[in-house]
Amino acid sequence: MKNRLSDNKYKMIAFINIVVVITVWYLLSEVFQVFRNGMLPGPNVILETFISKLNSKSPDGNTLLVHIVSSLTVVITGYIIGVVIGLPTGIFMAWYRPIDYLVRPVFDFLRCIPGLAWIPVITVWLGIDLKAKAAIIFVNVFVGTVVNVYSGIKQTDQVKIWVAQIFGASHFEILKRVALPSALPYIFTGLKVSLGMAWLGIIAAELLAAQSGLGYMIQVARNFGRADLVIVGMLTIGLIGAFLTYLLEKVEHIFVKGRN
Amino acid sequence: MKKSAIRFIVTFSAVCLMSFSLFAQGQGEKGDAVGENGRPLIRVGAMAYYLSVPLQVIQDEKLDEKYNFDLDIIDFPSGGPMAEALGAGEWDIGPIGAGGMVAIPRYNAMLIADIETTMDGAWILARPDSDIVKAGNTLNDYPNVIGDKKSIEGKTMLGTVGNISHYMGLDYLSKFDLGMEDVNFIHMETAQIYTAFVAGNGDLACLGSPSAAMKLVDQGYVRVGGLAQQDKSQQDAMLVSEDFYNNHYDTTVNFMKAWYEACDKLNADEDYEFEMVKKFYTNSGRTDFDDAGVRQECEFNKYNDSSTALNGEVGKWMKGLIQFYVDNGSMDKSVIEAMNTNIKKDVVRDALTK
Repeated sequence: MKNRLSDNKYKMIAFINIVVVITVWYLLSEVFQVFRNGMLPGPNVILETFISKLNSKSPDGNTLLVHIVSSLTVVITGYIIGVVIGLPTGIFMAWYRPIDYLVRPVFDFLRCIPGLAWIPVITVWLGIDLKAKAAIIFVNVFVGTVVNVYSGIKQTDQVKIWVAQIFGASHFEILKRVALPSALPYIFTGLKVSLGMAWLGIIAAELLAAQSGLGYMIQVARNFGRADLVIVGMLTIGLIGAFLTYLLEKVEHIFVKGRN
Repeated sequence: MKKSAIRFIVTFSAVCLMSFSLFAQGQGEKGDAVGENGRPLIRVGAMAYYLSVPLQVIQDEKLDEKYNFDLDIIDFPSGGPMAEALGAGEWDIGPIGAGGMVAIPRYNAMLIADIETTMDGAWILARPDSDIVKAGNTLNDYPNVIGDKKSIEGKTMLGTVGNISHYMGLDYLSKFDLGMEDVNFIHMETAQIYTAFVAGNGDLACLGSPSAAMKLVDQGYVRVGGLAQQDKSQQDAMLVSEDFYNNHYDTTVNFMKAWYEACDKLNADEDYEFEMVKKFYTNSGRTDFDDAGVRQECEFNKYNDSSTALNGEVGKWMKGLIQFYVDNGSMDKSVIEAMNTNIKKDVVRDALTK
């Protein structure tokens, strides 16, 4: 009962926070007009643009739904490939020292290169279609996943490892039965961080080449001076990212003990 | 909810409001700025292209001194960011191309002059072995435009939506009764169009940058269209911010006096023009040009100078560009009215007659 009350209180604070942000935004943009020339359209204008963009193809040739589906395709493709390759890479780097010595210098070098910097070479190597855009997302996701998985495995409790060793567990069995379960919170944190990074990469990916997508919509809107549409694109990216993170948290609650 | 929580929220909101207000009010406000030589300061927006070369002449020939102003040149990579910077009050006067269609109606910039009388170099290129090139010229009215409806339909076109290459690409398609929906128009930035096209991607490259287009021609790609070839003019315009136009009119006139004197010098001597273009590009950090390319660019383009500036309708090209985007639904009709209101002919008239 007490927990439920506390939960409701936090929900109330979160709600008030959103109301305050929207109110401040409205005051700044519509009442005091502190940004000149419509550079910050008010929330009412954004809502109107959002609703009209559901049916309107102007100025980028597609409706909002088409852009969302297009971006989701790129993000999810790059994310899945990044996670599928990043998870084992992080695990094996952390658990097997020779692999760590072999891979880490290259990884440390590659992880400092931002997604945008990959555009010219990816264009030459992979062209301009889905696989090229997914590759830019992959770079972001791979780095985030490896870093978190690596940290999680490395922080396995030494006492638990000793206990497993006393009971005769092999090195691989210790990884499977001790290190991986204890690293699950880190792994899920990595998956969530990487999801955010995947969405961060969508602008860079659609800067490469695009006919549709939220990043593309934002760029075209920018070229036509449509600040309202730029903000609609930003908010849509934020909302979808938050929703996907929420889904991932639900999955985390199933797999990670004590998270409820 | 506790009083302390409410107090915190109210205080936090007030602090946010004040911070944003200060931030917004502070942006780009220069007031009556004075340059390092004590003369009125003009913050000039520029791009490292042909349209900004007279600025080099103004500096080299000390025309700023002669006409009593100091220059602070702010470089931009393209018209989009330059237009946005004008909206933020970061520059006062500057030559701009298609970016003007955003700066004028959205950020209330004033169009005071057209920069060139003739221009070329915005081209559409195809691979030499493509169906489009094989189709040859099929349009009697446009002898330098290559391709036919069948060969173009379904092809992949690379260009930048919302700039001159997009406008040119759509116009090219319209010559064959085609629209954007009949091809795969892929949006890319100019540098990436060049890289992607050379790497084998796309069938048509729409390039607004003469240097990139000329490089492709040198490499054997075939010019199948272009604004000049499609009987469409290409033009840049001189914009002034609303604030500068209203509060520093005389300085604006003085700047245009210097500008036209620089253009007179450039138009009078081809070798001088060639040297100045090269010098400006080099000083701007460009490395993607050679002597032959600069010579060609100088041949294609001619500045509006003191003898031609009062001829013709100022802003006609920009109005046509905006009308084009209004007609295809990319911009709303309100921009036409803003465009018509913001064309000011008095600055050039005063610069050349007073």
